Order: sequence, then C-alpha cells, then structure tokens
Amino acid sequence: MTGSVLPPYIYYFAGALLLPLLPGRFLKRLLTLAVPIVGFIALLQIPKGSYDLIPFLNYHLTLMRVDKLSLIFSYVFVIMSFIGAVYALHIKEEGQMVAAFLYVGSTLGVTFAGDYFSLFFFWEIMAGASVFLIWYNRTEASVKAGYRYLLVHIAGGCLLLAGILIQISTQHSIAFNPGSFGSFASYFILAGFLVNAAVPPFHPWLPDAYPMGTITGSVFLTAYTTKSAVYVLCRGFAGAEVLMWLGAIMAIYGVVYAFIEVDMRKLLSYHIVSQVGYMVCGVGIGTELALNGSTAHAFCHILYKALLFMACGAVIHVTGKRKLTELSGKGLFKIMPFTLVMYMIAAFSISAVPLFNGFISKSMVVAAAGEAHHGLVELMLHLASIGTFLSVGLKLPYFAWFGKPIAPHEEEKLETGKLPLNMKVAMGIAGFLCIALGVYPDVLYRILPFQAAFHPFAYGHVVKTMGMLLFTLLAFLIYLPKISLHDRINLDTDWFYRMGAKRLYRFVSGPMDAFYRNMQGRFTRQVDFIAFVAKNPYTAPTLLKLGIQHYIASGFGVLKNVPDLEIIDTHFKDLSKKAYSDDSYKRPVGIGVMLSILFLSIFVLIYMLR
Amino acid sequence: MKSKGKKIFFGIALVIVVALDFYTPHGEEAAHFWWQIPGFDALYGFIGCFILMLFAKKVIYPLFSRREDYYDR
Repeated sequence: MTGSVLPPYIYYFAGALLLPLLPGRFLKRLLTLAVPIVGFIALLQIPKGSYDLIPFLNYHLTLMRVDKLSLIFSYVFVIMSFIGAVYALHIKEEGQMVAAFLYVGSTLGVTFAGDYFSLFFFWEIMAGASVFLIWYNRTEASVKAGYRYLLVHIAGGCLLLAGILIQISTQHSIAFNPGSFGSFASYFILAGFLVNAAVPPFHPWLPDAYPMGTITGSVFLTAYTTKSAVYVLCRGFAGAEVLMWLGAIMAIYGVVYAFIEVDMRKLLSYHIVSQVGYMVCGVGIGTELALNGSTAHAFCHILYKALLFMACGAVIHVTGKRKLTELSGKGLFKIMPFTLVMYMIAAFSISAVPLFNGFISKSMVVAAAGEAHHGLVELMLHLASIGTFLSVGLKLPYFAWFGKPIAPHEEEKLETGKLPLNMKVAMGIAGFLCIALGVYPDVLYRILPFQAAFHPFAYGHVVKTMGMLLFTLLAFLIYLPKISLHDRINLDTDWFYRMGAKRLYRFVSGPMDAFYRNMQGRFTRQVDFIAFVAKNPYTAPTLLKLGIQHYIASGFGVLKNVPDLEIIDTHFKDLSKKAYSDDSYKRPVGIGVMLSILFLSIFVLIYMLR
Repeated sequence: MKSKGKKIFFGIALVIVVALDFYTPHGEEAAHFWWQIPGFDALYGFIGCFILMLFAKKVIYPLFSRREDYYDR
C-alpha cells in the first residue's frame, strides 16, 4: 500500500473485530462510541486525490478516491453511525453492533472505491453484514424477510459483477468513472445499482425487510444501502435521462403505497423509496444544481429518515405495537410527548417545511427540474411532496399519537415500558441537526460537490411551499373522517418472487416429482427384467427371444386369449425356472487339452516350414 | 379541529397564504406558465392531495390489498 493514510473504514472493521473481545459493558460501550468519533476525525484529515493503490492481477485497485462527492457522502455516513450507535447503546448483544460496524465500514468502502473490483468487494460485504440487522430480530417473519433481502441483493450483485466482467473484456479497464452509460456493460452495472437504490420494480426488498429489522438495526438500514446506491449513480450515471423519469415515478409510487400502509415502519420504508426517487431524479437531470440537490438531499434524508425510524422504534420499544390500527386512540401523546416532538421535527423535515432540513435540499432537486424545463417532472415531484406531508406529516402521527380506537383493537390496553435515555439522546442529536441544517443551510451548501448557487429562502418560494402544505392539510382534514385503517397487507412487485417461488416449489413437488417417480418406476422395471434374465446367461437369449415373441403374439400387448401365447408363456416359465449351475454347462477337460495340443502342433508346423 | 377558534385560525392562515401569493412576483424564475397563476400552489396542494388519497384508497387498495396471512397460506 502506498501513502501513509489509513482508509477511514479500517476503524470500523477494526471496531467490529475488537468489540466481541473487550471485557465488560463499559468498555464495549466506549468502543461503540469511539469508533465513529475516530472515524470522523480521520475523515477530516484525509487528503484529496486517488491513492492507496494495490496491484491486483493486471490492474490497480484504488481504495481511496477522495473528492468532494465522496467526502460529503462519507461525512453523513459517519455522523449517522454515531447517532445510530448512541441509539443502540442499551443493546446488550454486541453482535448487532458488529454487523452495524461492518455495514458502515463497507459502505464507506463503496464510497471511496475508485475501481469496480473494490467497489464490488465492499458492495457484497454491505449486503452480507446488513442482513444480520434483520435476522437479530429473531422472529420467523424477520428470518424469512432476511433471506429474501439477501437473495435480492445477491441477484443485484450478480448483475453488477456481470457488468463489470463485460466491461473488463470490452474496455480492459476496471476504472469506475462517469460517462460510460450506453455501453452493453453499463446496462448491467446500472441494473445492479438500481436494485440497491430500490428503484421500482426492483424496490420491494426495502419495504419488505426494513420493517422486520431490529429497532436499532433498522435505523442503520435506512441510511446506507440506498444512499450508497445514490452515490454510485451520481458518480457513474449523472445525466442519464431514464433515471430522471424512473426517479419521478418512484417518488409518487412510494407515496401512494405509503398512504395505504398501517405498519409504521413499512409506511416510512415506502417513503424511503419515494425520497430516494428525488435523488435518482436529480441524478437523471444531471445539471450541477440537480446533482448538488441529490447530494444534499441524501445528506438531509439520512438524518430525518433515521429520526423518523428512531421515533417509531421508540414507540415500538415502549408499547410493543407497530401498527397504526393498534395505536390509534390509545392516547400515546400523553405517554410519549418527547418522541412526538422529535417525530414531528423529522416529519416537517421530510415534508420540506421551511426552516427544516428537507426544505433546503428537496427544493434544490425540484428547482433543478424546473430550471432544466422538465415541467412534468417538476409537477410529479411536487405531487410526491404533497403525499409525503400527507402520510408522514399528518396520517402517521395522527393515528399513532391521537386518533380514535380502530376495530378489532378497541378493547386492548397499552402496556408501556420505559424509554432508555440513550434513545432520547440519539433522537435529540438527529433532531438538532435537522433544524440546524434547515436554519443554516450554508454549512451544508459549502461542502456540496458542485458550484451552483441556490437560495431556498426566497420570499416567493417560502410562500408557495406554505400554500401547498396548508392546503394539503385542509384536504386531509376534509377527508379524515372517511379514512379507515384495516389490518391488511398490500401486494407489491415482491409478489412475483414470493408467489413465484411458492408456485415453482409446488410445481417441482407435484407434477415434476410425479414425472420423476413414473420414469424411475419404468427404469426400475427394466432393470428388474434384465436382472431376472441375467440370472442364467445360458437361457438368457432364449428368454429374450420368447419375451419378444410374446410381445408380438399378443399384438403388442393388446390381445389376451391367443392360443400361441400360452405355449410361449409356459415355455418361458419353464425356462426361467432353470437355475444356473456351473456343472451343467461344463465340458470335459480333455477337449480343452486336445484343442491346445492341436493348435500348438499347427503353430510348430508353420514355424518349421518357413 | 373540534373547537371553532382553531377552525377560524386555520381559515385565516389559508387566506393569508393565498393572498400573499397574489403579491409574489412570478417573474423570471417561473419556467412554466402554470407557476404564473396566483394561488396555483395552494390549488395544486389541495387537488393533488385529494387525487393521491382517492387513487390510493379507491384504486390501489381494492386491487392489491390482501389478508395479513396471504403469503403464509
């Protein structure tokens, strides 16, 4: 390795290795908090440029490509890991934290990777480490969801690998650079990235798996996989117009599904799909303002989405309920006012209310769409924004903290536990950052990768945003009496592989298995017959002949009462009873001796005569 | 929204926001003609919200909603 700078993700991997070895909870907690802090300090000191080159086969791996784009993503990844670590500080199982550190470390690896090999390497660790954050929930549903999550990511990884291999064979380069869109290889690579970015129809792993994670694990999950995918899209596929449309569609898709969800974390998961839609759309628009918008939105999104998941996780931790139907009308606002306030900070952020951080980033992408004269896309993004405020800002908090009791849960009483202090502190940090960035956006704007001026607090912009939000609220209040929630699930594109797998299994275990058993039976009967015939090699030819004769005489198995048939059959039976005995077929020794003498004499004669 | 006071307060806020929009310069930053219409955002928020709610509840929900044990059967 050249250069003296350690990649920041080394600290996370070291932390993951060290954590199980440390004695005592105090030291473990100390390490859990120290790793992100050390990582952040390391991050502040790394010089820009591409270094840490390792020769590999005939190529060079670039482990560190440090520029403004990779830096801003790694900043928020590290900040988020600190918040997540504080939130998870009360967890006794260190395995969760080990998985989380591996997950964060590999995401940083992806962020700094300058070539496709190291990118792929970290990409796969990311999937393998994160699945444990789901499995640690230890319910049957999460184990199953974890397997589906893993399978989808392995499939996505295979697409990426296929793209990389095609690129190597055609272009003889593993460099991960922009501007490759359009080549055969780039379609595979893009598909691999789109799986992780949860772009429909590749998205259902996200709302399937994230609600199944542990309370603390899901907070990590929301931040890394999709946002690292946004980073690689930003890096490799900026300006690919198809992404603009996919992003706009996915922004609305997530919003529509979220509105009919009753599981809190599933509702929020659909909003990850929707919010990542803004970022993908920004990447597709590809102007400097749009790319800045995508980057800034990824930064802000990680903070407020983590806060949303933390607040809902806190509700689940305290009440044990995860569905709005179970919480509605139980007076949660009296029990958890602090969590409600924190939730609303995040909800206002995601809804892009002025002075909250979503406002300063989301409006960049929307404005970029307008500036690039994509009027329809701009309207679609506005519509998704309306839907976001509707579901996350109004519906979820109304039903979770207020609302009326919903059948069949009217009679249930809430049994509440205590909320650990560290969870409150973590929410407080995230809430503070959401507001701080919303009030002083320059802190974020200064580290954005491109030079594109944007002023979110223009008078007209604020008025328009408030008008849109207030009238969304009006529409919600009018429609509210008609909104009914039911304990039901909604089918999504995961139906194809969940039911597809089930039907494939049924097909294999039903018709395919019957066919197999049938064929096996036929072959076994043939083997039986050969074994039966081979008992006596001397009678075998005759028996075979008789068998064929029987077959022909009976008109190929059709006729029954044929006179000849009886003769053949009796003959067959008699012959088949005849057991093989060595003695009955032996010829006297003398014949053999005579024959050998005869041949020897002929040989001698010929030899002499020559 | 049970008390009358809240309703009135909310109503005033709505009126103010639309009124302010009439006095907002819709100049060079509006790339499309619809942004020139005063109060377009408010109208879009109101109608868009209804469209989303109705589309989700009346189209997507009846089509794709299933019992909770749908995949376990």
